Amino acid sequence: MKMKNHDSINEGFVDRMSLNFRIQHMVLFLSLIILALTGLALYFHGSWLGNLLIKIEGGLESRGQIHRVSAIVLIFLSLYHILHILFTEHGHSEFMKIIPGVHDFRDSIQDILYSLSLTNLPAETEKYGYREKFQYWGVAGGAFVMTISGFALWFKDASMSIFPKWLIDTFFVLHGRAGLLIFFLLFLWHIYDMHLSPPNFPMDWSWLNGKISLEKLKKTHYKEYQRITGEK
Amino acid sequence: MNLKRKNNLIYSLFLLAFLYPINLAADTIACMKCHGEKKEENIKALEFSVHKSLNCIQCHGKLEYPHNNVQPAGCSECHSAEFNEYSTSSHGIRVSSGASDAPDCIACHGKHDIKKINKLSIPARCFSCHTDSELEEKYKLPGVEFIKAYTFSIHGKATSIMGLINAPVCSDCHSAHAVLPPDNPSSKINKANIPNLCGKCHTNEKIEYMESVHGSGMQKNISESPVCTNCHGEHTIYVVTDPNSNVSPKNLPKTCSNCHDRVLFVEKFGFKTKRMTTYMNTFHGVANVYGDTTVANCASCHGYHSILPSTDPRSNTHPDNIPKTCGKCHPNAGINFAKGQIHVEATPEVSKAVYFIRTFYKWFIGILCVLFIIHIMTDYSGHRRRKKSFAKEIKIDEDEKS
Repeated sequence: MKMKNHDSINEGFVDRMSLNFRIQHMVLFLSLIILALTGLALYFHGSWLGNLLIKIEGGLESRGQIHRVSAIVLIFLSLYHILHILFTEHGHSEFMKIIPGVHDFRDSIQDILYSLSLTNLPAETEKYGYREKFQYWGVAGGAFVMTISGFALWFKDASMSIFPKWLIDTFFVLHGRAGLLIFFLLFLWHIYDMHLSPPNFPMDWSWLNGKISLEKLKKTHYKEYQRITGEK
Repeated sequence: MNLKRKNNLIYSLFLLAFLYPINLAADTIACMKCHGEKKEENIKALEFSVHKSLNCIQCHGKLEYPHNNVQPAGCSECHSAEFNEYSTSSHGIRVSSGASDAPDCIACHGKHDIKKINKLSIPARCFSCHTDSELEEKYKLPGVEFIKAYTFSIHGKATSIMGLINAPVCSDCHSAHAVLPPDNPSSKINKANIPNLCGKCHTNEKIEYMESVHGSGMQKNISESPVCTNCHGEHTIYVVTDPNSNVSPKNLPKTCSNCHDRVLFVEKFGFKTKRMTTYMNTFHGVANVYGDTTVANCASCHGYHSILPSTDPRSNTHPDNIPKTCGKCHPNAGINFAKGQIHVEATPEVSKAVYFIRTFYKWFIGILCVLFIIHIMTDYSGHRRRKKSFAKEIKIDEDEKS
């Protein structure tokens, strides 16, 4: 099998995240954390948590400003990400690997069975397994829903002239609930997977050095390991 | 005081002093034989009182000498209208039933030194009894704090700090002589009489109120209908910009929801439920809680005194008027915007979309959370178990070697 340049083995390590992706990832999580903190402040308004967050964020008005600035960062990142997929070879090839398929569902079942010791083999996945795919598409879908509904709420006077009130109400509820979903599921799940789960504790270093060890790759993404090393 | 008036006063004082013996009738001179020395102070006081032209027996009656049991002066002969009001008042009834601590005429007006009452001094006169916690407790009155609250109200400040003679003191609302408890239908502060009482000064507000749903309810004798005091308070009336006011932007939602979130009223009058909580969860409500005074509160949309149900075409919240009402702050709100519910509980009947999204996310988040927790737990326990069994294998290997 012909090896591609970015799949080459270097002192027992394989490239996992290019510098471009690492920067995108950092901008993404910084903006998401700020959006979550400022958004949750409003969602839990009136409780001690909401009061504390709003106080930290300098009051209700500045909370909104911080939220909207982070939103702009996220929107530009999303646009950049889409352009990167469409117009670069690297972005395109990585995107093709993260498109979900039926086998991802089977993989997730197998992993759970493996965790319960009901089968001896964990799911054998390519570079992006069902966990990566679920989290990627969760964030992508979430960002889409949040951008659309967020704009309708941000430009309230414009949307009041176009939309009926019930639709604006719907956007309002959607924005809050979808935000909560993203926070609880994607953020907390990702924190568990990449920081708290026993093999990764204290963290999976790929987001900083962009590498993964062959040893770890064999355990977590066996098909990719096979493809790179040519092992059967 | 100009010079002419001053001169006149000095002149009349001289005249008074000069005519003093003549001024007092022969009976008074007879009284003065004994009382002149003993009660000099009283007589002097009479000289400057509104009763200076009266002589002793006109109030005290003609007395044979010696008189050990002198009846107190009777006021009712001249002041019969006031006396009639007084005698049926809370004060009068208690005095005639022998209560020594209830006020008679002299308790408020004094004895010989009766002068025209300065209106601004009235609160202090009433407070001399009504800030006595023992008396308040004994007669089951509303309590010292409640009475004293007047001092800090806009009415109290207007009289005590600004000296505005038009501002109401105790007697303007409670009446001077016919002081009666609020549950008495003929009391000026009986609920049914409150709009007229406040309307004496606040005329426009009364007119608007009388046409509102609250005013018309009151006129139909629906006892739950609020009158002025239900929203503005009684002794605790403050200007709307005062954060202590019941009707300040921040406190208004609580004031309205005292009735509009009360289960009993909701059931009786068919109010839509959760008006307060649903408002509090809007951007308006949240901004209001965090101290934004420009954001819409109940009155911004529903009106102040002229509140009407949204089914009334005159109402600010009638669907036809929504663009205008919302347009006060959001100039682009069009006819289309009026389609939809405003701060009502999202039930499937009234807010399908909101209800659907909420229900969907409730289940979606719930189910995913359960899956997520199961996934973490199995993943974590799997790692632990494998680690243990791996350690065991190594140990077996070592044991075999040794």
